[in-house]
Parts: sequence; structure tokens; C-alpha cells
Amino acid sequence: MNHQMFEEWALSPETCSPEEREALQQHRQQCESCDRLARSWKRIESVLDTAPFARPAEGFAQRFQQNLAARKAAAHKRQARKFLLILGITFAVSILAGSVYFYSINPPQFLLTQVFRTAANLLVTVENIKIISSTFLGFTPGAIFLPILMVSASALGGFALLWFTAIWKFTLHGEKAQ
Amino acid sequence: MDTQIERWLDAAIQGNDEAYGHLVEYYQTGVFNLCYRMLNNRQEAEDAAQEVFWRAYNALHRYDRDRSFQTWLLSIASHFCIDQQRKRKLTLIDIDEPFEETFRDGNSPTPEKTMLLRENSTQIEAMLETLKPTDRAALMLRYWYEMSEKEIAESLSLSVSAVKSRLFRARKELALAFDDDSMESQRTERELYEPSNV
Repeated sequence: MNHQMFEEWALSPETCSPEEREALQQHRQQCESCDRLARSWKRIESVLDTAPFARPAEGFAQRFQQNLAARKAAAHKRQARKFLLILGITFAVSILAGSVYFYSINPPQFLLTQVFRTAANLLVTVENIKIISSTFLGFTPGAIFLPILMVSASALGGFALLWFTAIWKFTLHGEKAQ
Repeated sequence: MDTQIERWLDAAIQGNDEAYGHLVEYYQTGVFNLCYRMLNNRQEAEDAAQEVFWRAYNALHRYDRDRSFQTWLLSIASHFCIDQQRKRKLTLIDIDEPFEETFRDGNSPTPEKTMLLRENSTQIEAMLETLKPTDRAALMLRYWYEMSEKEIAESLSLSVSAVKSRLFRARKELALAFDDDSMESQRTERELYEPSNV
């Protein structure tokens, strides 16, 4: 006898047609195992149908908001770190590649001459800047010195702020993808 | 879907965290219940539910508006809990801890009925533990969330025929285990209360 079919009907009586239900009833009178299966499932189903919903402890949504803020901050930090790491690696690799190329196409004595020449040029430039500055400061009245200092400091501060904002905005893009 | 929920959903997709907070508040019981029934531990269920909402938050831009939001959330929860169960292979059942429950019809049953329900429910929870995680999830979605076989298939990334066979297998395993368990307890009761013939 095909018990599989009766078992299927016994375990999902809601899908049975009236004829199938009738056939199942008749079969259950003759087959003890199918009858026990049907009775057992009926009890389980009644428990499942009336089983309550478990509720989370009070303040679940607030805890989520706190977690969200913490996770977003962590994701932001991770992204910023990743960005700076990529920037650093790119810079280091560029310097390395440039150096390797430069050393490979020039003889050592030329490189040494270039190093000394560059250092000398640097010293001359610093000296020239010193002379120009002292001459300029000698001619300008004392009252104008402070505004010049303030404008220079503001310009430098503005550039720094722009740089940090750009990095901050850029790192925010990756935050959602974490 | 409720228009208020639609509005929160729209706002949340636009990046409004407060609107997403409202959605969390609205769906917390449904998600938590699934996690709790799957993991059988309140703390783990809390952590899992928090993780589910975080994953959903990150995937909001991929949410298909033709699907029910609850079904989508439960799908994330099911997959997460199935993975957790596979990892942890839980064997203990957290039955001593009292917890708040909401009866689906809104009426609280009598104390006797509650006692009986708790006993049966504990017995069935213990048996549910023996089911495979995916079979268990399918059964939960069918009975607690009244999902159709098609919805369960979508939620668990299975075919409808696979859901049918998993549901059949789960029901049969539970029925056989419940039958054995009932017989065993009846035998124990008889041995305890009936005088020995020796």
C-alpha cells in the first residue's frame, strides 16, 4: 500500500480535497502508524498555531540606534584608514618606481653631482628668500605686518580645512558598503 | 503595505536614520521572534536581530519594492540564523528564562491553558532543535508568519518543490518524535504511579 500519499495528506490536511480527506479517514481506520502520525501532527499543529511571539527586551530600537551610530563611526574610521593606506602606498610606489627609473638611466657620478648641485641650489634659494624678506620687512611699516601674517595663516588654514573635508567626504562614500 | 510604513521606507532609503528607526520599532517583534525560535537563546536572538537590522540597513538600496518588507527582513533573518546554527550547533534550550510573549489572537489564555501550552511548546521547541536549520526555518515561516510556500521559497532561496519536501520532512520528523516522546512520558507516568507486580 502507498503510505507516502496518506502521510502527505495526514501532514498537510489543509491541502486535501474532500475526497482525499475521506480516503485518508478510511485508511486511518486500517493503518495504525498513519493514524498515529495524523493524531500526533494534529497536536503539534495546534501548539504551533497558538504559539506566542517572543518579544525583545524593552528599548530594542534605542539599542539599535546606538549600535548604528557606533557601527557607522567604525565603518567611517575603517574607510578613512583604507584611503590613507592606499594614498601612502601609491606615493611610496611612485617614489620607488621613479627612483629605480632615474638610477637605471643615469651613471653614479652624474647622480652624485646632481645631488650636490640640488643641495647647493636649495641653500642659495633659502638665502635669497631671507634677503628678500628682510628687505621687504625693512620697507614696510610695522602696522601692516600683522594683517599679512593673519592673511597668510588664514590661507594656510583654509587649504588644510579643504584637504581634510575632501578626505572626510571621500571616505563617507564607502561607509554604506561595509 | 501601510502608507505610514511606505513613507518611513521611502525616507529610510533616502538615508533618513530616524525613519529607519521607526521601521526597526515596527518590525522588531517579528524579526526577534524568528531569531529566538531559531536560536533558542534570548541574548543570541537579540544580537542576531540587531545584526539583521544592520544588514538590512546596508542593503536598503537593493530592496525590491515589489516584495513585502517584512518578508525581505525575515529572509535576511532566516539566512543569518541558519548560518549561526550551522556554526554553533546549539544543543541547549533556554527554557528557565521567563520572557514576554504576545498571543496572536490578542486574548490571554487561562492559567491552566497557558501551563499546558508552555509544556507542549517546550516539548516541541526541544524537538524543533533536532530539525535541520533550513527545515526549521521553513516550518517557522509557515506557522508563525503564515507564509505561502512560494514566499518561503523566496525567503530561503529555494524552489517551491524543495520547500514542499522540506516541510513534509520536518512535519514527519516532528510528528514521529512527538509520538515517541508522548509514548515515553506515558510509560514513565505508568511506572511511577502503578504498583509494581513483583
